[in-house]
This record gives sequence, structure tokens and C-alpha cells, in this order.
Amino acid sequence: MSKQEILYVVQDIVNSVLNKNDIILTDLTTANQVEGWDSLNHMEIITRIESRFHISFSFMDVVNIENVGDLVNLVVLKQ
Amino acid sequence: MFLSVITLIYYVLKHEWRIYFLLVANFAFYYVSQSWYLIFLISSILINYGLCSLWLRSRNRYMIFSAVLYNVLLLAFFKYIPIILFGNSIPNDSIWTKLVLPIGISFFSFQAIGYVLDLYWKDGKKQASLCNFSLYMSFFPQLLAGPIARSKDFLPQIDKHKAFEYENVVSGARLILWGLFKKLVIANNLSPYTDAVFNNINMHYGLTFVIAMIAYTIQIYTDFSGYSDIAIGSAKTLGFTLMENFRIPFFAKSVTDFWRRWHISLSSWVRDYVNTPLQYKFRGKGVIGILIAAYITFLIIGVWHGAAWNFVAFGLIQGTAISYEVLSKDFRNRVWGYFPRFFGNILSNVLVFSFFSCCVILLRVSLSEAGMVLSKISFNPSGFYWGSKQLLIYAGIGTTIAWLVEFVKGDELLVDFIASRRICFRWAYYLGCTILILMIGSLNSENFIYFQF
Repeated sequence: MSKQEILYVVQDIVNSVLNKNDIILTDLTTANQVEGWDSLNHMEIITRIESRFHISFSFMDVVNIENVGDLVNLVVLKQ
Repeated sequence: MFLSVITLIYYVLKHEWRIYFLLVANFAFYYVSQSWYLIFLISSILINYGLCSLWLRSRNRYMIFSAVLYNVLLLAFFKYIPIILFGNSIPNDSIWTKLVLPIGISFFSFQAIGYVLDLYWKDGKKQASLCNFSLYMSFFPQLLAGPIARSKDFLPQIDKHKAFEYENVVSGARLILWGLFKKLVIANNLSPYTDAVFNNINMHYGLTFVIAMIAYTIQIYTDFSGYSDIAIGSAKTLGFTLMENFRIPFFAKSVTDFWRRWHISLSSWVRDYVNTPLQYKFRGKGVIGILIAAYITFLIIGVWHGAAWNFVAFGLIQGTAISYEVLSKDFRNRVWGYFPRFFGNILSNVLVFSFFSCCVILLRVSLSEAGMVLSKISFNPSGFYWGSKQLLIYAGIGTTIAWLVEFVKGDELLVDFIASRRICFRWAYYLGCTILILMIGSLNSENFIYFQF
């Protein structure tokens, strides 16, 4: 899967978890910039991404994610 | 006065001398505040730094574990062990009768833990210099009661050359003025009333407690946010930017939203260093995992305030509210959807404020006293105590002004809000705050409430 395709999948997951359909993500998007993406939803988003791509993030991976770009790069790395 | 002198000398000195000067000023500030207890701050700096250095050489994670444990034990020794061992009756020959809580220990210990964990989690290859780390740990504007600084935000600012910038000093002064307004006009004028009520619970009745709880909620907010504004403003005059600590919390639409706006430096610290690891650990348990993590997180926030059952209850109630909101998110969204947006916002603000007013009393009185208050509100509502009407009116004037300012500025930082207004508005702000402070401000309370935590 290309990075762009992974980004679209991540975007779908984020929209699904936050019960929205209009969130657009870019590499530079951070959780703070997305309404509703808080600590309570963050781990669910991470867990769904792991499940969707059949990968597993370590705790160090999770705490070092600064933005969506980092998350996408991590998925690419783990695939 | 201290800030003025320090700021003046700071900008006169060459850049390479400023850090050392600031460090000496920080330690002098602490020594003047609490004399030889400075040794606990210095030892905390040296032990944390030393253990991090050992980790960098050996990559033995027990060094990290030891550093975190040291900070927790230091806090426990002063804050929790005496209460756990002896309750409220500490024996006269006990060491704990001779010790008091080192000022700022809850804040600089958390900063130390944050530094250590950031280094470990980011797999750092080197750490800051001892001098920079010492400055981070002891920075006087926020040493006593926060905001809790993050190493990744603060340390890079130390080495940047800070030429004198008029705008920094003006921004800082504007924020300090606002902090003084909240503290002196609102918080200090409310404290005689709340003290009279909560120090004499047996003498008062239901309606009095309802008013006193609302008053104490406003008091603790303006006292603590006032201090935070003074701390952040003081740092700004020296060219340092500290984290925002309050973001119009009483305009929150839910308890979850409230805790993103109240004591942000603590709630975000606990979110990043407690809640996130717990959520990761329990992520396989779905919603139950989120709830467990939330309860533990808020229990820690509760007992951070102190080792007593009222603080435990405070934390558990917050955890319960958050859990309720997690479980009922879809239901509540449907219900709020039936209301016009403006009305829904007002109603949610009122509900959140009411909820927090009921909880915050637990930061003021013991659990049994809180039970007594609840009982009197429920079964003995009559009778009302006004106290000094004049002070309440002064506080009311200040509260109305503060509420209006917060309503108009919204989430925008106050310094940005003031800076972007026309000059006539800015001068109205300076003169208005100053005149109100001089005319109706009160110096009756010497300390800030959060110094005790």
C-alpha cells in the first residue's frame, strides 16, 4: 500500500472513531487540531489501525507519534 | 520587586552569564521562601541528573526506574507517609513534626519525572547540561505552584539568545496585571466569606453552603489561575514561554472538556505519563480498559492534592464522571441535538460548573465535613449567612468583569487578545484593572491556595 492509501485508511478510521465524515488529514495534522481526537479516543484509533493493517505498535512507537505523518510512516515501516 | 530587579540585571548581562545568574536567582528565591529546604530541590536536581547520566552510559533501565522511584518516594515521604502512618495525630517525637512540606515539591518532582521519562521514551542519546537542567527544575516564576513545565518545551528556550524585546516585557506585564486582578479583587474578597462558612460548618445552613460552594469555586479558580498568570507573565518578561494553565474552564461543555481546560499542565502531564501508558497496557480490554485507565488517572490527580479521603473522593468522582461520559457519548450527542446550539452550550456550561462546584468543596473540607454540608443542604436548607456584603459585592464586580473578558476572548490567549485590540481598549484595560485593584482589591490573604499542594 502506498503512503497516500495508508493516509486515506487512517483518515477513515479517525472519522469512524470520532463519528464524523468530514475530517481531512494531512501528514502535518496533529491530534490537537482535530476536534474530538483526545486521549480517550487516541488509543482506540491506534488499536483499529493495528487491526486494519495487521501490525503491532510498541509503547515507544505510540508515545513518539507527533503527527499523522509519523503514524503513516510507522505503518509503512511495520508492514 | 524581585522580578523587576532580576529582569533588569538579566538583560544587562551578556547572554553567556544569564543562565548562571538566573540559576543563582532561582536558588536565592527558594532559600528566601523556605531556607534550608533548598537542599531538597538541589538534591532532587543532582540525583535525577546523575541517574539519567548513568542510564545514558549503561542503558540500564533500572536507572530510569530508580529516578522515577526517587521522585515518588520524596513526594510520599513529605506528603503521604505521615498521614498514612499517623493520620492527623503525628506523635510529638516523630521526625514529621519537625518537617514541613517543601514548597513546590509536587511541581518540581513531576517535572523531574517528566524529564526522565521523556529522555527514556525518546531514546535520547544525550541530555541537557547540568546547568540547563537545574534551571528547568528551579525556574522561580513557576517553581512554587506551576505551571508544570515540559522539558521539550522549556530546555530549547534556555540556549536561545534573548535580546531585550519590549513586546515580551509588555505581554508579561499585561498577564501579571490580570493575575493580580483575579487574585486581589476576586479571590481575596471571597476568602473571608468561604473561610467563615467552611471553618464553621456547624454554624451554617443549607443555602449558605450552596452560595459558599459557588464562591469557593470562583475563589479557587481566580486564585490559582491568577497565580498561573503571574507566573507565566513573569517568565514572559524574561523571554520564556510557559504552558497555558487554564483555558476558560467554566465554558466547558462536558467534564472531559473541563479537564482539558483546568490546571492544564497537571492534567496533560497525568494524561501523557500515566493515562497513556495505562491505556496502552489495557487496550485489549476495550472500553473497560479506557475506564480503568481513567479511574487510576483521576485517582492520582486527586491524591496529588494530598493524602486524605476527601482528595481520594475528589479523584474518584471525576473518574466516575469521565467514565459516564465515555459510556454515554452517543446518547448525550442525541439529547444535545434536540436543543438549539446556543441554549445547549449555556445549559452544558451550567451543568459542568454546578458539578465542579459540588466536587471542589472536597479540596477545602474533610470528607466527613463534606458529608455534613451535603446533609444540611438536603435537609436543612433554610437560613442564610451573608458575611461582609461589601466584599461579596467587590468580588461580584470582579467576577462579572472576568467572565465578560473570558466570554469575549474565548480560547484566544489573553496576551494575544489584549495585544490585538486598539490602543484605547488596551489603556482601558490597564487603568481599569489598576484602579479596581487599588480601590477594591484585598491583601487579606498572603498565600495562594495551591501553595499548600
